[in-house]
Amino acid sequence: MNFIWSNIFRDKKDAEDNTLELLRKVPIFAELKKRELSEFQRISHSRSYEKSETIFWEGEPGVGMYIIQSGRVQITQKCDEHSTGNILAELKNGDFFGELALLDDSPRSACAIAAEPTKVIGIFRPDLLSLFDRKPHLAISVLFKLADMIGNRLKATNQELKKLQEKLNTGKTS
Amino acid sequence: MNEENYPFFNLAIDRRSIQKAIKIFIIFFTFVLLLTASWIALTEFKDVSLIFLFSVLLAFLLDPPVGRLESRGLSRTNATFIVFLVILLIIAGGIYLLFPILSHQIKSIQAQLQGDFIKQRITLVIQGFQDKFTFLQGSDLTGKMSSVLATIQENLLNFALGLFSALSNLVIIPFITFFLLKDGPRLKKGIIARTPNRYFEMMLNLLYKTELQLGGYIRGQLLDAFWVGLLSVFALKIIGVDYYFFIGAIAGLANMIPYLGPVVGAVPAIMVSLMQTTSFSPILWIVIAFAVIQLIDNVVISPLVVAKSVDIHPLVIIIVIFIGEQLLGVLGMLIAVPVTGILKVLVKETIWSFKNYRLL
Repeated sequence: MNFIWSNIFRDKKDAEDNTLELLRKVPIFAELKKRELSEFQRISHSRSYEKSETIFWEGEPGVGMYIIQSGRVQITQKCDEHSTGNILAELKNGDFFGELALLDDSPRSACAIAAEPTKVIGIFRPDLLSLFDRKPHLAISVLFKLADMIGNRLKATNQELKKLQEKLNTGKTS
Repeated sequence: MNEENYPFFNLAIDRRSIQKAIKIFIIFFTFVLLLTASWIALTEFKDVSLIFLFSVLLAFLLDPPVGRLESRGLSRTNATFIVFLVILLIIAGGIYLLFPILSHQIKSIQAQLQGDFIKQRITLVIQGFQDKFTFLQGSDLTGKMSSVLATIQENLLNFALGLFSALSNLVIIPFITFFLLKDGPRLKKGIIARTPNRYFEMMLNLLYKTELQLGGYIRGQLLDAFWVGLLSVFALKIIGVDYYFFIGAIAGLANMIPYLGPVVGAVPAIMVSLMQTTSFSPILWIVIAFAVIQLIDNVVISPLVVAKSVDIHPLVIIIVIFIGEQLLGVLGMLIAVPVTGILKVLVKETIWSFKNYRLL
């Protein structure tokens, strides 16, 4: 009997440990202590998707971010019920997507489609806001990291823009 | 026949339009089904539905203090337990302090309802009326008032019996509330986990938005009723109206019925004052007191505590109050507007979600 109980609890504990490990791979949670991380583990949702199943659609209000536990996800644009659209990126184990939806519910800029049977962990804004309400100190570190990540992306985009502008200018003068 | 000349025949009914029509039909059918189920629940299983409704209302009211305790490092169970303990102590303290006043007022009301005191007072009041307004002389006002009084006594008895049965649920309601509070987040996670992938994000958003708006609305309504009740108790005590505590509490509760509420609060106060003194001068003070309380409520309390997001059209308010009265009597009138508020938020957010998640 004890064997059964210990197995049940071990399975649950293994799943929790896996989620914690997965969360730690995401830069915004990377510097959190184990106890703090388990708060995010508690608000996370596990979801499974079949091959070709859509995780979210372009244009729908964003609710949160997903971290791939197993499988592959394609990020596509101009997708609809009949076609997957243009593939922008393909993500695998440990990759995450949709993190901007943690900040507001503006429409998703692309679709996310499971390229094979996929398991993901989702962290969503409503739960995150409620957690920050209860434990405000967690909000500081996580939001700081999120801002840092967005800032870096903006810098990279500005660099790209600058390069393109320079190319355009050389094209005009020559 | 040239189709270009007849645009009516030129409608391209493609597969997508048919799918959309089927979706709309399913949504409409589900909505009607839910409405029918709610109606049956409210009429056939009235007691159970009401117990559950009150428990949900209480859980919404107590969620913020539980959350605050949780933020101080307590587990959800301990936080819920502490909040319940504090409330129990407050209620016990309140009963201990107010019991002498309450029991005196109850005994006094009982004695007056049983004896001929009220009839004598009515005769005196009517005589006063007839002396002031001569055109009333000759009409059988005393007889009419006595029959009105008999109806009031009968309704009061029914209301008291209803209250008594509600009080007997006092054990069940805290029990359900405790578990709704303690396991609320887990319950929500369970619902979300069982939602199909296509509707998962929508359900998450819907639950969050409705919870946020409903929480604010329900807490606002109850806080508003509490403050109006408290102000009414103080005002009636100062004016010197008997049973000020009961009438004030009724005024507070009745305040949840828009437009009719203030009248429901003022009328018993005026009647009791007339019976008490047979003089018309306190009526003016009662009317002024209730008008000032309404002013304070509309200018200060309501804007501070009641959520703006649940504005209900005055005509809808009147209609739902009547429906509430038809279904559940006085209790129905009391809960009609909050229940409409809840339904409005649910419908509004469901429509928003269906549109934005391209299900319509």
